[in-house]
Amino acid sequence: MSRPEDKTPPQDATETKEEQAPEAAGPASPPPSAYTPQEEEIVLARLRALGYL
Amino acid sequence: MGIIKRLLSRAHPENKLFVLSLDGVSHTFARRLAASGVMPNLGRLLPQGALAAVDSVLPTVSTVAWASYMTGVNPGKHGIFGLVDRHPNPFSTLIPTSRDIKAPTLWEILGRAGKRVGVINVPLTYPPRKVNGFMVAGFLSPDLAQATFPVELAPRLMEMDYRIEVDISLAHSEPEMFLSELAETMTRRFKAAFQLMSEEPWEFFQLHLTGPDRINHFYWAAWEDGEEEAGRRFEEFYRLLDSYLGELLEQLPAGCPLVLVSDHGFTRTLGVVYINHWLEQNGYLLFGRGKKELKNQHPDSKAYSLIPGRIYINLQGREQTGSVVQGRPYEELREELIHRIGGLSHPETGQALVKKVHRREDIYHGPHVIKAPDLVIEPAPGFDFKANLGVKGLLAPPETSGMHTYEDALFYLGGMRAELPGQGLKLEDVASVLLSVMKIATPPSMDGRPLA
Repeated sequence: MSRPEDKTPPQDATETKEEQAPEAAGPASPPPSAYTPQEEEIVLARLRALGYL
Repeated sequence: MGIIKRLLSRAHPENKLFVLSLDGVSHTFARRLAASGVMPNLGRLLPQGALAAVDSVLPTVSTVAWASYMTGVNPGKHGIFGLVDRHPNPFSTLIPTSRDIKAPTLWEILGRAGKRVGVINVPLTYPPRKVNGFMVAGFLSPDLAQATFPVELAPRLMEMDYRIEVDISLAHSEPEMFLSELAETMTRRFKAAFQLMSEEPWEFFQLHLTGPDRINHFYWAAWEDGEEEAGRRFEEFYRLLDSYLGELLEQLPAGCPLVLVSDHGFTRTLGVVYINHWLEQNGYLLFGRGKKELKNQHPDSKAYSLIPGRIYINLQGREQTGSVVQGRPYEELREELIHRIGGLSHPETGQALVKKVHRREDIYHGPHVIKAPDLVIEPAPGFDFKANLGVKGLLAPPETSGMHTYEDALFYLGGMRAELPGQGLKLEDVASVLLSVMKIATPPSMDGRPLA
């Protein structure tokens, strides 16, 4: 069903082997969270209860 | 005639589709529930459609899996690699949300094709993105008031006493209450779905149930072992689910196919593997003075892990304290870790702890591979890889009684009698199959293809 990954050429112009090499990026700010600090506590507690943290 | 052509040759005058997604219900488990009589409606349903086992994703966690399902692409294209992710420099951890999904979703593609959609409770849909229809976000939505599109839907759901998620901590502290809440939450979810099915226009409807995954995590071993009371309560939950499945079948519009899909298989947990402990004990993970935490790695640290079994090389120029040079040193370290981690075994039983350690470029492709872990551990069935620091040993007893497996997710397409054996169906294929049923062409950027 899936396209064989080893035989199919990349479909996106941006999808190259070079991009699969480890990136070298300088310091940058983390992206802003979708959660407020209070909401983040709620979701972290759920993840802990499920044993994911 | 091809499978989809045969399906489409049946009369579906309204061209509607209903997906019931069952988090954590494996192909094998569904067949067993159907055959044993625990789920008689499922037992009647399965022979009337095409049923297949589906390969999930690596790492096998729900948000990564559902992101692959909803986009029809591998994580290298949608950019979700775990329940928790990291920003490398300055180091911080973050919880991915719908905003981090870097590919269009199934319902966005359907909406662009003019189809009205209704989506309830699919993981990683918070914050809800705009759709042509309505969306109720699921795991990990912090509260219902902000979890709907349009926002006007939230008060209606509150009137129905709709609940996003059971308080999972009850499973540890008050198991009776946990089971009761699981049943009640599922009941309210179905009732809300039935109401919205009748009140809102839709052509594609997806109702997602998280309860099966939750009860499986905590009751799987008890059920497998035939523990009388716990096993009875476990089956009681699935009997209730089956009664609502029966009601759903009665309420579906004539000719509307029902799809069942899950995100992974399930198995008994045999033990927890603390891989950061192993990395630390073997000199790969080093900490600076002060608190032992990943943001405080020593400049000589070489590798660390995030749950479950994602290994990041402490790469120079990428990580905050990166020490490993790109090129040959990086490749040699990966090779060494693949060999050593791949050979880990249980010190008492000799059981292999690892099925395979994958290089990221071997399992992902696309523009977001650069965010992926450098190595991904595929555990041997039953071994639950965690990333806790400050633990006493590599292995610990299970924290939950059941855990996910890569193989054996469920896919069922109603309206067909043929089975789909051995076709190598992957979770990222499902979206294109569903688009086929809706008579919409698969976008070329999708990894999956419609069934021939």
